[in-house]
Amino acid sequence: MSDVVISVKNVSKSYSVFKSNFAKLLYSLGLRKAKPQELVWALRDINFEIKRGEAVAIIGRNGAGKSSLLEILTGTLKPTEGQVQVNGKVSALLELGSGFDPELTGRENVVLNGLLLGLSKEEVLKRFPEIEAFAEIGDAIDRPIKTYSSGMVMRLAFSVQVLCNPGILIIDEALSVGDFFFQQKCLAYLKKLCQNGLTLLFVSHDMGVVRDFCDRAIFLEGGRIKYSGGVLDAIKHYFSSDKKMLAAKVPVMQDKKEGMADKSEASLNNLIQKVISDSIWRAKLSNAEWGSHIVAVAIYDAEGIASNSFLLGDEMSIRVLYRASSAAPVHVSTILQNRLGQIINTSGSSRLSLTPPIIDGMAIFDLNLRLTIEGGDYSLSIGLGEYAGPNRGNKIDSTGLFGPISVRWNYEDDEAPFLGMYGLPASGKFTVVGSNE
Amino acid sequence: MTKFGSISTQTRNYCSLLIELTKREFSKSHQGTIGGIFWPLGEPLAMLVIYTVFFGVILQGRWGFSGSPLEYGFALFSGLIIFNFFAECFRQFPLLIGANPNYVKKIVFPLELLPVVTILTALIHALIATAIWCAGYAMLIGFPKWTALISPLILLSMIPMLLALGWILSVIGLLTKDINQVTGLFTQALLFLTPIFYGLDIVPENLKFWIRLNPLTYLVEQFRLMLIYGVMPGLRGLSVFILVSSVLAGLAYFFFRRVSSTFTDLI
Repeated sequence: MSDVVISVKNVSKSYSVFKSNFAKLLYSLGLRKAKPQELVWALRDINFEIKRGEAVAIIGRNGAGKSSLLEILTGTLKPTEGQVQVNGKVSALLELGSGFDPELTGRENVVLNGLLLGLSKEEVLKRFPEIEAFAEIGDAIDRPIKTYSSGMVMRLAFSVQVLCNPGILIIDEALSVGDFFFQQKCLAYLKKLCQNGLTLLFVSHDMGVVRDFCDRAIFLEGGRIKYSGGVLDAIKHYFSSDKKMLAAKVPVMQDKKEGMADKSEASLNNLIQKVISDSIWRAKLSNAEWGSHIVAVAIYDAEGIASNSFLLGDEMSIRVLYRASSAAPVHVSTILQNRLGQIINTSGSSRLSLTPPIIDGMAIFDLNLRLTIEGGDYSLSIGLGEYAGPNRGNKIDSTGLFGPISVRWNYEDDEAPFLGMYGLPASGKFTVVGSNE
Repeated sequence: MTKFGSISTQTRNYCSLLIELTKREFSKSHQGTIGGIFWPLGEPLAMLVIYTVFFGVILQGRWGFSGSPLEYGFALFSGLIIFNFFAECFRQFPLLIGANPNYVKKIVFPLELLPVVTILTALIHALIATAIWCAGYAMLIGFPKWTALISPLILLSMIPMLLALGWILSVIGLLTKDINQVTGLFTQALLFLTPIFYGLDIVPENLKFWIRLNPLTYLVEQFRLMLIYGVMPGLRGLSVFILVSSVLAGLAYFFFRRVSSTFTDLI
């Protein structure tokens, strides 16, 4: 038996826009007279192979063609061109609980879903206790699904799919519904399954999970494979994809620096170029006439490597390359927001009581933040402004929110330094004030 | 695993899936009602009473034979069993796929089973009705002829025809909503164009040919002959009917499989 479980050759998928459903049907019956009005290509020339036991991530922005690709692999969608060969039982979590009937009880749905996954009734019943235990929904198993919360539906659906012993498991952003602990439990379980030869296809926008979990990644953009290979490189491509869309040209640096005579012009230019090439955010246009503005923002970890994923408690260095052209000092500020858009922290030169240089030219501002905040994805925004009184400023330029900045922690296995949104500086001690001995 | 082995396990799995889905469909038709299991039994019983009283007593329907109102009611009800079996399926077919978008888009589901589930559920309803007919007949008129025992044969012989209609109509239903109006009208018309409320003998000669073109006419007549008169159906006619409708069902199945890949786009 070959080791390749999924082989995709030259697959393209186009969605035809027809005048009517009838024309669509005629076309599918082979009447080429009924031509589509327009072809929209969702996937173009996709080629890859996946071997048994691999965990592969498919990443890309919305509309990159991830879902179409997954649907083709599951078999609910036929590719327009090319061949797909899948050896093994595919279990797909495309939309959790979509195979469920709201009128039936959890128990009945588990049986029905198991049958749909190709098990016999005896096999489903044999595994039922395990499924029930994994889902942890208690007595609700005998109530109709329509009375469930979405989290409960997700738990049950995941349990059925995973415990029905698939050879290939496709997960499309499905875990995001479950609570944190269930997610951790699922990931731990999946890891175990992968070691036992499960092939996993994982679609997620949570790069932290992708990085920790997958062996390699395929990065899709505009329906084509832009990168296929190591997870870290693919993630880098993913994060640079936004810049590619924004920045048509790399800003050209012509300004002569003043007051920095001790450094050679070449090394300064190198410094600037390095920030730009490492940048996670970059201005669309940049020219000297534009006044004060942010040129690029790069984020480094403690080792000075460009990164966007940190362990809880790590130090994050934000390097802001900006152009100042103002008689007043230009302050740099940062805003860190969590998933829900709540402002976690704002900091910057004015918070730190630093005095910015008054120049007409390029400058770099470095800010170090210790990420004592709970695990999750955050977004960042950098602003330039003039001081206008305590805690106030006049905004000159802002990057808008970008990211994500991932803060990771394995809450399942590792003792966390704190729980909750922030880690406040804390200390404590015990004193015995009474003993029975 | 050999090819044969995998095919037979697949067939077995399809069968248990079919049973499970039919069970669900059947229990759904009365789940959540206070009457519960009473409804599948009570409904045909109520029909029997209503039709007997209304047509047999009030309208004094002319059957073509000189029977009591009660006998008229039973003759009428026997025809309705066949008609309802047909109509229940016929009305649902166009809605099947559209009503289950998840089965098309989100999971790998053998969609060709959906019409089969509808037919099996309706068959159970028809069998219950037949049993009630027999029980009622035994109580009120006299013990039914032995042929009543094999009368479900007629119901079973309808399956290929219903499959053919099911696979075709479920595709058409996906294309255009108009089909629901058409099937509604069609079943109304069919109710009167089938000799249910009357015997074929009282139909004027020039209309007889057209009425006979309706396959339900043949089925209703045969069903009645078996239930009431103890006459075995003509095996030749029945086998021709089964053969022709089986061929049609085969073609419909082929058509269904052919276009099923476009369902995702159509829904």
